[in-house]
Order: sequence, then structure tokens, then C-alpha cells
Amino acid sequence: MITRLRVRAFTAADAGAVAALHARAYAERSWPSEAARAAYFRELLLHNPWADAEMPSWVAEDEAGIAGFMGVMTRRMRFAARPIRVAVACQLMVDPGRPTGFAALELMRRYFAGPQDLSVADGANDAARRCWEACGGLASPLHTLHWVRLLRPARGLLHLAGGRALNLLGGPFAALADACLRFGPQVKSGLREEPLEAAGLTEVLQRLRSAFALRPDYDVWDLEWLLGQARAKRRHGELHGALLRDRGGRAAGWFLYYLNGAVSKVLSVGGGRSELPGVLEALFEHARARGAAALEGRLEPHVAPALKGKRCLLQNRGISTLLHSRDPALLVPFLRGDALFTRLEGEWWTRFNGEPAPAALPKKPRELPQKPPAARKRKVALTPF
Amino acid sequence: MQASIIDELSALFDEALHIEVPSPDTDLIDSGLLDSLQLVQLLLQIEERMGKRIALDEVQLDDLRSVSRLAALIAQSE
Repeated sequence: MITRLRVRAFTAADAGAVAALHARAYAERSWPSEAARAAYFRELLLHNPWADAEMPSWVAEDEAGIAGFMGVMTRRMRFAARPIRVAVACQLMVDPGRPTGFAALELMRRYFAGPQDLSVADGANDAARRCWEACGGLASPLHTLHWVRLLRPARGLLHLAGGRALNLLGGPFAALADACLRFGPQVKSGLREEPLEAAGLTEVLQRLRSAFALRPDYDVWDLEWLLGQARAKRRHGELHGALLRDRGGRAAGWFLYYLNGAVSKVLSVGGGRSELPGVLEALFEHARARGAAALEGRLEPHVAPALKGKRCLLQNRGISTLLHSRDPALLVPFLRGDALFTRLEGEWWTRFNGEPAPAALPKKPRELPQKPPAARKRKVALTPF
Repeated sequence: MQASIIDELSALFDEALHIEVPSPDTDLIDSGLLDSLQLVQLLLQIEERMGKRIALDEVQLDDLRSVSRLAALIAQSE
């Protein structure tokens, strides 16, 4: 038997109980201590640069305590010239150890009723998607897909196939094959790389302000905080990135990705529409030069046209990007590639999953093998798929 | 009319959700029989089998607490 639920705003005093709930709901996620987990909930949800008391995170409680939780991070964006508030949902959970009634739906309805112009959840599982859709939201069909670019095709395919044993056995052969083969022609981007700092990213976003109907509205301080958070995440490897300038010195685009010895993961890539193909080539070359076997990114509609001819595979992992707005006009840019909304604008960079122990962190790519002289002459372009 | 909807809903609980509801007036939440995800699944089944769409953003969740209240909601929409 459960008693009536009450949904109210999350406060700092709830962090310990919410962390305990998180530990029960996601037992596989590793945190050094409950205190560290609680501190992270406070830091991310109450002390982020955009924290807004009008758009809080929510707890559902009954007489037995907190039965459910929904995290909310506010973001500032612009829709054409109009500033809008976006509420990014994360960590929707209910207590798995007892009946919680309609707690998840009560939390979601309360969240949707907030003053935000747009509600977004990325990285949602199937259960969350079904609840979201039942409450009137929608799942973006394109964002469910992920593109994969093989950079060292034999090793990349081994990692995609998965399995530690397969990688151990096949790794040396794959490395040898990759040393002899080239996966398609290498295209020079014609763009100049420089280290990506908050100021550079602000500059390129400012330049693109008229190129996208919906786009993030950051200042340098916002981005310093955000990039610092993204750098602290080690689960997918070390964060690498670059700002790209064209021959005239204009900021043309950027990329950010986590480099590891398996499938490296793109956090954010963007640029002007005409410059994005070159930005992608620069990204591929950057990762290839650092030993990446493959790169994976979410299929964001603004990037989709630039992937033409880039020899990418597509995967559907059942991870959804969910949208909801009382104003349907705000949803249109997501569907027609007119929204600059990367994983950096969502919740993918957060560390609610905890971080693996140092020994379990993703391996860096191994030392790059030197190609034998004969192999240098023998460029074999694989025609994929 | 409502009695036949109750029968249809009871069968749906049994066959689609594998939940045996003791009576049409049993409180599905208080008794712990139904959670959010099962409710969503139930609404999908109602739409599929009975052709009735219940939008959660247009109803009170309390109207879905028992089979009889759910049947009343469906009957109203007919």
C-alpha cells in the first residue's frame, strides 16, 4: 500500500536522500562515496551557471520518504532573436524497492507545467520515452541514430563487434591490416586548428548566430564552467577539441570528442553549413592522428547533410532525444536541421553515472604503428557498405 | 454501456498486463498494482484495442486510479 505522493522542488537538503535513491535505482553506477554522489547532485542541479529557481528539479515523496526524482538543468538559448529558457531533464528515477504509483508521470507532468519554453531530454531510455510521449512530448527520430566513422577500419570493426576476447585475439591482426590499408581518400580540410577555449567557442557561436534558428546563448563564463565539467568526465577517455579557422582567419567551426583506444565519442561538432564538411574532415584527421580506431557521434540534423560522402555507418541504440513545447514552432528547428543543439547542450557530458576506477578507465590509443615502406605505396581504398 | 467497458478493461489488464484486478473499484495505485510505465502501457493497449486515445496531459491522474473510473472516462468520450 502506498500513500499519496507529493511533488515538490528539490533543495540542497534533499541531496543525501536523492543520492541514496540514485544508488538504489542505478546500483551499477560507481561513486567513491554517497557523500560524493550527493555533492555532485547539488553542484550540477543547484549551482550550475543557469540555475533558475523557477525551473527546479523535482522530488516525489510520500510518508516513507523520497519515492522519485527528476533532475532539471536550465539552459539559455535563442530562437531567432528571442531569448528562451530550455529545461533539460535528467536522472528521472523512482525507487525500485517499493511501489511508487504514478510517481514518474507526476514528476514529468510537473516538469512540463514549468515556465520553460522548451523541454529536452537526451540520452533517454525506452521507458522514459514512452512516459514522455504519453505526456504529450515527442521523440526526435533523427537524434536516435548515431554515425560511426571507421578511422582504422579493422580495429574499429573489432571494437564495434565488442567482446574483450575478440579484441585480444584479433587486435594484432587488425592493427597490421590497418597499417597496410587506408580507409578511403584522406581529404584535407583546409582549415587551421587551434586549441579550443571558451573564448574561441564563444566567438564561433557568435558568428553563427544568424545561421541557426535555435542556438545556445552562452557567455565565456558559462562555457568555461561547461568545458571544465566536460573535461572532468573520463568515462569515455580524454577530452580533445579544436577551434577551426579558415584561410581568412575567421572562426569556421569546432569539435570536441573523447579520445580512447576503442570507439572515440564526439561531444560536439559544429560550424557554418558550408564549412561543416571541412570541420568533419579535420575532426577525423585529428582523431586518426591520435590513434583513434573509430569515431561515434549522435546524428544531429545540422550535421546530417555534411556527412554525405563521409563513409559513415549508422547505428540505432534506442537512446532518444525527447522534446516538448507548448509552442510547436520551437520544435521545428530540431527536425529540419535548424537547431544547434549538440550533446554539449544536453546532459550527456554529466557524470551522474560516476566515474570508473582509474584501472577501469578507457585505454588511450596505443602508440601508432609505423607503416612498412611497401605499405606506404599501396593505398587500398575500401568501399564500404 | 459502462459495464461492457469494464469487462473489456478487465480482460485487457489480465491479457496485456498480466494484472489481476480484484474488483473494478480497487485503487490501482494504493494497492501497488499499477506504476507509471504500466499505466503508459495500458493506455497504449486501450488505444490499440478499443480505439480510444487518453492523453495524459489532458486528464487528471486520479481519473485513472481504478478500472471503474477509467471506464467512466472512456464512456464520457464516446
